[in-house]
Amino acid sequence: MNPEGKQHPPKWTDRLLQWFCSEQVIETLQGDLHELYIKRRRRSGKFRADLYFFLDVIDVCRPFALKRRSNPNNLNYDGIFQNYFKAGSRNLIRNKSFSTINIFGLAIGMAAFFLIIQYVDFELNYDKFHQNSDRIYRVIIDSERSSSSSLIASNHPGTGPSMKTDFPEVEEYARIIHQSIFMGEVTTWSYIDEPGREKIFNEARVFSADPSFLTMFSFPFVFGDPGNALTDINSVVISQSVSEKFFGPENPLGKTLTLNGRQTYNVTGVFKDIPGNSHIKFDLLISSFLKQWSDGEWLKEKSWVWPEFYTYVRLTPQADPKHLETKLEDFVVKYTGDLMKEWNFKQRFLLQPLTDIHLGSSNIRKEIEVRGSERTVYFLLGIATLILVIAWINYINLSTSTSIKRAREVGLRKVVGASKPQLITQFLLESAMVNLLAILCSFILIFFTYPFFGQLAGKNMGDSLLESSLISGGRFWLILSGVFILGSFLAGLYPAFVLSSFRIVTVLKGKFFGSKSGIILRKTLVGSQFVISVALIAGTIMVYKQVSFMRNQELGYSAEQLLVIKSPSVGDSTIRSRMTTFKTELMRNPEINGLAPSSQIPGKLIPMANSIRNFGEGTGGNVRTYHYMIDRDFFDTFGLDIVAGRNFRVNESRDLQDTGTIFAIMVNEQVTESLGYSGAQEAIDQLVYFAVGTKDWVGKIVGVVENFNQQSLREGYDPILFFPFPGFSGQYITINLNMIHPDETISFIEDQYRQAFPGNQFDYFFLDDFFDRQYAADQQFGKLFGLFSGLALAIACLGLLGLSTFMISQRTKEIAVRKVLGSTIPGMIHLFSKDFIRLIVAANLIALPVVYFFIRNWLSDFAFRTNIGWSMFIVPAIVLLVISLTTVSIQTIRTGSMNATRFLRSE
Amino acid sequence: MKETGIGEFEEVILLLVGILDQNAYAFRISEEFESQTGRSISIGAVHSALERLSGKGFLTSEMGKPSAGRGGRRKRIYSITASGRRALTASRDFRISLWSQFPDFSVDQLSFVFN
Repeated sequence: MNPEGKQHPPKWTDRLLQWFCSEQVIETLQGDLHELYIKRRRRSGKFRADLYFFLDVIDVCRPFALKRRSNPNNLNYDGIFQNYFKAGSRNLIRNKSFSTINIFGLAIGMAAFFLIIQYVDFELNYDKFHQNSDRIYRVIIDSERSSSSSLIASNHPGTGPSMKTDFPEVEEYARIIHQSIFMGEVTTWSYIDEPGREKIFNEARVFSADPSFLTMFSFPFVFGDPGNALTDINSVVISQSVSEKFFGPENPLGKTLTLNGRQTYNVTGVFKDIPGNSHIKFDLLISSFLKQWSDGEWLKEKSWVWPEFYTYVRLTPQADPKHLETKLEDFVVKYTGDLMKEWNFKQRFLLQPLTDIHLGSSNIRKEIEVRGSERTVYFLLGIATLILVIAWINYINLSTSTSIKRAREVGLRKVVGASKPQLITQFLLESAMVNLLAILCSFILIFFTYPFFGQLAGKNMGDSLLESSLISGGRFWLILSGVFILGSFLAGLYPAFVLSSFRIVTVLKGKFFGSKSGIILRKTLVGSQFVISVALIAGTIMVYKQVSFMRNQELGYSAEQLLVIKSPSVGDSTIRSRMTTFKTELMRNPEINGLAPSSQIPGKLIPMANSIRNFGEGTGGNVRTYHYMIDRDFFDTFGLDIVAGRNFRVNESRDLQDTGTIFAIMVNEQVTESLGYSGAQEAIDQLVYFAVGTKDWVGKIVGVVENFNQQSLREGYDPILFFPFPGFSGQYITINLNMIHPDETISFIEDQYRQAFPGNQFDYFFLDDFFDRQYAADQQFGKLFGLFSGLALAIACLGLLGLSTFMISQRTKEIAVRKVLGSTIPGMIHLFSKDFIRLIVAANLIALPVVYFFIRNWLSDFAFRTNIGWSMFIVPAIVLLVISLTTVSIQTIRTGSMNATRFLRSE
Repeated sequence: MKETGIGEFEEVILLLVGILDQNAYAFRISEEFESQTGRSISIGAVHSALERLSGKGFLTSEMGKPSAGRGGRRKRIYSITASGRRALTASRDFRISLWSQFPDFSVDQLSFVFN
């Protein structure tokens, strides 16, 4: 090949040129462009020559060069299509109010639909961004204890390593564990920068992970190498935003962070902030807990009795997870058979696909993050579809009812020779036009509402629709074209048929009225809109009712005056005496009613749990209990009643050391009930075995406390076992304020805290806020439900407005005659709204039983639930009646109060 | 109605076609245009102008021989028609008549006005 021959512009640009260029000019044009290309290439190199060539090709897109349609048969259609388009747009402009209702209603419906689709898509695609997401499984435990079985998300520390050695199909394993297992829920991190200033932050999303965790999952790194970032024992990898908090924009690799003022960690990596659709979200990952104990003896002892480690395995591409799951049965027996016999329980290991974790249907305990609800997702999808259906019904109703106006046009077209298929094409084209306009409007709506919607849904879905996974995934365009085609055809087909089947002669004679069957169909459609509206209103009412019921229910303590602060995590051996000083200082303030450190607070699942059984019984009598370590002021501070027995005494706290001693313990009523006592009094001074770690201890129940809601009202009362404080290790200090001057009191507490515990950050929250966080998902669901029901109702109202306007405009003459004959306006309102009232009654009768069934089903998930009550049955009917009566009345009054002669003069 | 007037740009192109004679094909014309006027021009614009002028009947064209630099494609060589020449002359005459009325060149008339 000669060197000249190589100098071609890129093939695709040439092809582009050939694609649009007409045959008459292509040869010379292309020749000229190539000549120019060679010249440019010699002068300024390949890149520029290519670029300019491309720009020239684009530039050539001028009328003279474009291909002309060669088939003369098509020319005819161009004209007629232009005419359709013109007739259609004139019709839209002529009936401004109907067009607005149509387009705007459709636009709202579509915007709502696309927003929900985006949400649904986001929820359905959790964790799919990991490279091998289809091969990664989480190993969960199905444990069976005294005939009740439960699934646990985390696993024993030994499971991962043993699976890798025992099964060739397990390529890699990775474990991750939250800091709260070892330290507090929150830890304090500090950094001393060059000038010696200290930056302190409290961090909650801190985990310890195996080095393989970073390679198994594909969290993108900004600095550092995910391959070895966690191999050293004192390594920490941090998120970009944490890095910016501590170090600003610079590269932090090699810098040191201090944990709780004691341990130091080297920053070995910075990852991009975890995306919203990851089931596990963390800001700091440290190597130490796992690394330290993987090598040491201590963890070996706990290998199979400490299910706190989220364990993931990546299988080989050929592996069959079902087959591996059956092999796991023997695996469990091999490693834990003896334990299961000794403790009389059964467990199985299951493989849960990574992508199922977020929406997995089964109820798994100890989940890292609040799980999404598959039901909510599909429910919202259902609402989205209903909204779209309502908008389409509007279109069908309005375009068929206004079709009479166009009868003459159709008649004339037929006279001139239009065939029925041609007319159908015409009206389908018009419906496509309306749908297209609606889509454009909906995009504008989405553009403005997207950030607001993300907030409402409580999801970090990206800042705009364009950034969302939906668009980049290409699915969006599929859905968009689906909606467009369905909308244009489904909503357009019936009006097209109605319009095209008018009879020429009757129409042109001017004796045309709507057909009977058309009216029935319209009524059915409006009726089904009413059914949907009733169902949505009733559903919204019930969701709101349940959520507000849960928020306002008595919890057993006055959460709104309980202030919680984090116990100091940075300190030395003097911390216990400092704590005493802190308490005495605070109690001097008359605004403070009480103060109590504790290991737990209400508002979440207690991570520490074990079993309890009556003294002298075998392990078969084991009952599950949660552990609370408390100061003896705990019950006073929270305002909880001791229903039987007594509180702990001042010096009753003892460390669990000697298995021979009898420990004083307190329990709540739930425990006495499950231990089989008929009343609280009966349980006093009874002996029990309770397990902490792997050992049993003997305890004496000295007091029984009333039940209180530890978790959201979705859950029942938890059985709780209280220990007196073995030394100072509380995570939280709860303070009861009388709320007269809360701001001043809080700053007083802050001052005292800083004096008593230097080096700690003062973080506080009110218990009611903390507790209500559990309802965030329910509230969001309620808000979304309410919003979209409102939208659906609004669109239905638009349709109703349009329809009644039209109906009355058709009957102006009738109104005038009635008026002349002495009818009153109320009488006419009654006459015209009769049909609507009938429809509303029918709609209620159809919708309410269905809603009742769904609501019952939904409420059954809650341990504490509100009464279904009467409001659900009455309010939707009233709302619809008011809306439709108002629209009909306004139209009737407007027409009826005009001078009747104006309408009668013409005949 | 067929347009018969020509604009400045079209005039230049017509003149360039005349100047280039046997070499008057789009690529050469654009090169010549750039070197003569110092303005840059795209091939598309030249083609579109040539097309327009042919449509008005000021230019005719015939295909030349295939050449290697163009990947074996032929050139279209343009030449001015009689009506093209007429249009050029008309345009020049029109300008000259305008120039002759321009004050700088006819001081007498200007002073006449002031009298």
